[in-house]
Amino acid sequence: MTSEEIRAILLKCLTDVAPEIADEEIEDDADLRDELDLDSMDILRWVQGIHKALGVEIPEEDYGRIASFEDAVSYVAARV
Amino acid sequence: MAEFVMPSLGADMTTGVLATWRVAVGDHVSQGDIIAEVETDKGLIEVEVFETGVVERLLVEEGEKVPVGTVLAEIDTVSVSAAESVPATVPVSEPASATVSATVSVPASAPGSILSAGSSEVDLDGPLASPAVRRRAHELDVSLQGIRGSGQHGRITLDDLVGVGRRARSGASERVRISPYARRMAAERGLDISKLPGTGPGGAIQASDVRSAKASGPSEPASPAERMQRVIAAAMTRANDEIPHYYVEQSIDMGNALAWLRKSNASVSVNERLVSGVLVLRAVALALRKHKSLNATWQGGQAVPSEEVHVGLAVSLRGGGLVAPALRNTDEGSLTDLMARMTDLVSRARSGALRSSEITSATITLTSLGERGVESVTPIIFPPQVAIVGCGATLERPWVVDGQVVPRPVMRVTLGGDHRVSNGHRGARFLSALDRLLQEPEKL
Repeated sequence: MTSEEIRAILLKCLTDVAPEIADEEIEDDADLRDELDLDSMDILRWVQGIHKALGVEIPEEDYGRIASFEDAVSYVAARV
Repeated sequence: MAEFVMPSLGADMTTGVLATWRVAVGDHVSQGDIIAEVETDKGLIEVEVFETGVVERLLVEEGEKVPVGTVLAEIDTVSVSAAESVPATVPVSEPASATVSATVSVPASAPGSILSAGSSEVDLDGPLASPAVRRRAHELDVSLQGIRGSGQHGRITLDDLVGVGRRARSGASERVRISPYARRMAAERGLDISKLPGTGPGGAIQASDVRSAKASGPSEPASPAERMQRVIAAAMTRANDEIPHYYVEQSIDMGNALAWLRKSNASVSVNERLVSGVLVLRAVALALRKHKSLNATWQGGQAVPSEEVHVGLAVSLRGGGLVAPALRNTDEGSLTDLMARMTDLVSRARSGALRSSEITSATITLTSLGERGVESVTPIIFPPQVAIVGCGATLERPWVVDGQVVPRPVMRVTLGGDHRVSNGHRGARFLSALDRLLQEPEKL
């Protein structure tokens, strides 16, 4: 699976959680909590969506490693 | 025959737009079914029916704006027992509880006392009538004096009020002549069609009337977010004016709760993980069981404690705005179940798919801004509730454990109370109970 494919899936999972956020608002290096106003419940739902879509389980202690969209794509790409 | 009325979906709501009917004449409906959508300044709200029966008549057209209490539809109830037949617009299980239902919500500003906890049906100074009937009479602005009751011992029933109520309401829900296109345009622009001058045949409002009203009208807020903010401001202004607030605050060591949460989350599937907020939510609900005076609503000049705990969750909307829908029976069920319900509620709040009972039934509100880093919150009580809990961030702070200063994750919790109902001592005891509960998260 290419990085672009992973990116597209993660984007879909994120907009499923927060449909009011437009794709173009999601900048690769932006902090998801600060810039997109996601909270811990949103992050958990996103992690659940990623697990369902790609089978990658992100443990709670690794949440800090998916602080930005770019970080998350890299994290998942290394495990998919 | 039961009446389905425009509910009061907030203390300051006076009118609502019947946006969509989800049923048609002849449809069978059951208690709890969503049968309509109502547009308010808080967004589109799904409205449940509290009767089982067949839709006999739809009295208001889609797009029509009517006052709270206006009869929207008539439900022909079937197989109704004597006990069930009394509260025609009240949830059967909650005729005299403090829970404000979609169809019986009484604005906190409503004059006169018509409800009291455990109130008797007998009013020594008036005719025989149940609290539900008195409430309905108050909503209809009719006096019970002089009404001949058809119930046992001359007791006045809701059916007895129907004819009187219709006469009292005559003119209140008078139809406005307006074309469908103009109606849609007015709704999109947030204009009250009852105040628009019509220049069409017979005074009907046309699209050109809507356009010119928009051009020459006063500063009508442009966006739903602005309208919602105006409603919030009005409610909070009133709360500040009417409620003598007091505040007590306590720092709570969250070490045990977070350690338990980490361990629990590591041992379950990703779909069963919890967030710390659900522990606080459950602890608040359990603490309220012992401090019932904080779990109440202010109605008709007095506090009405609720036997059920429905914690309202303050949810900020990413596009701006704030809603506080209730998680009903927050003190019941497993934490996993509560987490699922909370996730669903927050998701629907942000997508504008709340139900009327969720909007009106909260008995207290929990607001947390901790995730945004604020250390403490001093919240304003949502009328008609009489208390609110605010949580700040959980931060590492120096804490004394067994005579040693150690870093511990500490959360500052604030209880805002209504001095008409409770005092700081009660609030302090509530916070102590909350602290104790969070020290034993496995029991939540």
